[in-house]
Amino acid sequence: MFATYRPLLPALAYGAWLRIRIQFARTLLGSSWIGLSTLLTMAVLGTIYGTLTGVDDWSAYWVYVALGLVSWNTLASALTASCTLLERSRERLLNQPLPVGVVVLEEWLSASVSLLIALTAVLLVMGLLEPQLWGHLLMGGWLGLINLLLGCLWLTLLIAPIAVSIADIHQLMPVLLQIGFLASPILFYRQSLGSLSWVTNLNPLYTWVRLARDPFLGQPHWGVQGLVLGGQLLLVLVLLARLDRKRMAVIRWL
Amino acid sequence: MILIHYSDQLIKSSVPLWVLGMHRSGTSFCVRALQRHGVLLPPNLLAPAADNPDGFQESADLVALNDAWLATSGAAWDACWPLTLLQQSTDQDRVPGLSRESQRLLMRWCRPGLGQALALKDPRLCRTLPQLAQALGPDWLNFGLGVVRDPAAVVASIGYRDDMPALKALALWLRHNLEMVDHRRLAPAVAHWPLVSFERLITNPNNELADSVQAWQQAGLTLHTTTDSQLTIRELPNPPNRLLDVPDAWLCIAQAFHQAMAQANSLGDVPESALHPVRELLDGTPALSQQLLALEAQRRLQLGEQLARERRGRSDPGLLGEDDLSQQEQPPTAAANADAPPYVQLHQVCVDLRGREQRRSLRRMLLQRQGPSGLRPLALDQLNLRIDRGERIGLLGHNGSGKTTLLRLLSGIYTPTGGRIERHGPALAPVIEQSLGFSQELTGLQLARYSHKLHRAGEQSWDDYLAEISSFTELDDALATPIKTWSLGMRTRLSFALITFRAVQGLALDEGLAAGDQWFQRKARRHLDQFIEQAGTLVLASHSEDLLRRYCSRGVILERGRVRYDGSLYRALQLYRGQLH
Repeated sequence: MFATYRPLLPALAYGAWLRIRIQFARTLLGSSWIGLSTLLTMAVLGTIYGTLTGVDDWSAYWVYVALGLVSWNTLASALTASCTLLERSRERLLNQPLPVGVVVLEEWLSASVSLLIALTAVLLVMGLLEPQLWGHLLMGGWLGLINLLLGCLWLTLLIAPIAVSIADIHQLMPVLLQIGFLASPILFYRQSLGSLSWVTNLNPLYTWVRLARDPFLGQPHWGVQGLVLGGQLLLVLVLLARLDRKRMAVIRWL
Repeated sequence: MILIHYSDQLIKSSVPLWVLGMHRSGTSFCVRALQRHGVLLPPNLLAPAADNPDGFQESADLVALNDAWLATSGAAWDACWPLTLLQQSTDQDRVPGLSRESQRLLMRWCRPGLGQALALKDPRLCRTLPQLAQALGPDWLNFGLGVVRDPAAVVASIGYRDDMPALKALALWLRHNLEMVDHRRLAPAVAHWPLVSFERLITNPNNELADSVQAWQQAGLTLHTTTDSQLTIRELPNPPNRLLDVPDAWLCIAQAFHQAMAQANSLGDVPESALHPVRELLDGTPALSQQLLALEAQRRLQLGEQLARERRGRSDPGLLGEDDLSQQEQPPTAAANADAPPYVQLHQVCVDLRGREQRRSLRRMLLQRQGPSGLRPLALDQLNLRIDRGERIGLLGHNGSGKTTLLRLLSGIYTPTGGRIERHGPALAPVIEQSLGFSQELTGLQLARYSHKLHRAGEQSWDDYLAEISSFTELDDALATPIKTWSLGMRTRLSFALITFRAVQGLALDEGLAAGDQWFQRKARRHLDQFIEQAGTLVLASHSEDLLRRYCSRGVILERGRVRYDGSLYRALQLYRGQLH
């Protein structure tokens, strides 16, 4: 598997960069929009939800909301994109003997670049209010981000081949993600729900938001993060090998 | 295969030298002998084939033009009736357009006058020269020659190659040679065209052509003897004394006609008394016409029965050629590599794409039993195929017969859902759809860079690669602009360059790449030839006989995912045409 993918890596990275270029082609600010949209969403929704839930420490709350939004948006974008990823890559998969995993990795790399751009914007702005954010990034924040990205990767490797044969998944995914977003403590603190706080445990995707956000809030959870890292790496390798092995079963639906 | 390329300028300033002669009469050999005297060839030559490994020396463009002229009279290359018979009832409205096309094509290659000779050779010219003369004018007919060969030898050869009954082949020989001699009425110069005997030519080419070459030189043609090319002289089998189902009297008439032509120095020297019995036999003998009609009816009946059997799902390998004939027709490379491992071999390979048109919904998944629909056949069904290194295979078949699926399988895009594929080398490189992929927002430079990183990063620097692509496509500054602002032609150029500027071992090619505009004809055709040449092994799926003849020597016909025929390209084309009509 490594021998297959290693020569493709330069093209793969360049392809991911091209995807970002396509997304923001002809815009005035280019990929800066990723950071700006995150900050704008944080400002508007944060103000509304902060006021509704009676936040005391606005500075810490902005950081909480911004990191939650960055993490959730990365995860939600990856899951939504995974439903149509292989369909969108139909032309390439049916005309080039590329491993199917290449299109997944390319998509994942461009999602990773988007995350870095959004996070940089958040750190630059929020770092003025909470300078310890930069220290938290070095102390464990990086590991949380890697776990978030690995989660995006193996979930895409799992969902993309299923979604290519079951068209309903593409319709179902946005609904599930919207419910998950509104029912999870991303824009509000968990304790704001009072007796209903158990609801937050129902959304498994929230786990990755916590893995990415908690280290920036001073809770690195080194042990858990290490275990999750190992488990996710294994899952990525297994699912990538499976996807390439099941190539024909996947592209026959394209 | 040796590719001969002359500069456009040299060809444009040359003079037409028409080479006439019935099919299988040695006109190719004659042109190769003339090449040693500095005679040029037109571009886009037909590729060598299993039954003519030294090449045909005729341009696919000229063949296509002559086929179109024949079609205006409702005839094909093997029609042995007078072309005037059907002229009122068929595609006569195409004549003005064809006249213009004839002028355009010939004027691109040569001009009347004096200079270096350009051999225009196609057996169909025996029949179509009057139409071309009318389109071009008598000035174009200053130089030419006819080649004649023993009728029994031609009948045996054409019977082997095209599976043609002896009587029909003899009638075809008579009609071609009769009309060739009759062309002396087209213009005074044609009567002076020399007649060359193939039997003498094959024994001593220089001697047989010496008088003609000297006469042309005196008339002002630029000729010079070269020793660059070697003539491969093969020993010819003796022609049969008798022909199956052909009355001896008719064969005698043909032999007497051949003798008269072989003794004549020029077309004008053939005595009218030698032509009279031939005209009488062809146009005044009801028994011959009836037998030819019966043969045609029999052929149509056989094809109809074969199609009916196929529709009922029964195979009939017997119709596709006897085993011994198939063995003889195997391309030489296959025989030479018999002990070497195959490049790719398919063992009972199946590809099942059934049900893909019904992408599953949750409802269907929950309520219906899963499994492929049985209504459609497998895309490839228990396919056995051996491809040796360096083979050039043309894939024929109707739409949906499995050609593209087979190309995808050979290039590793598909994997077998049943059976086994054995490879002794990398998968063939696929060129299936000409598409730039990605998005229209990207620039040509970005696409070229991606292609470089994917295919060429190890062998060539980005600067060199870009310089090559830019120079070839002539897109220059446009490369830096988004491709959505480009014309279709510009996109095709870049797509073609990105596909062909890389090194591949083996090629699975769909015909789309070889179709193009004037830019393609001018520049890309030659590059494509080189690309295919260096690729070695080729599998080409196409409906175009010209393309297949140009690049392939072996033909495979697919029908509903199964191999219906595998053998020489000529037989494959013949059978495929039969299936179509």
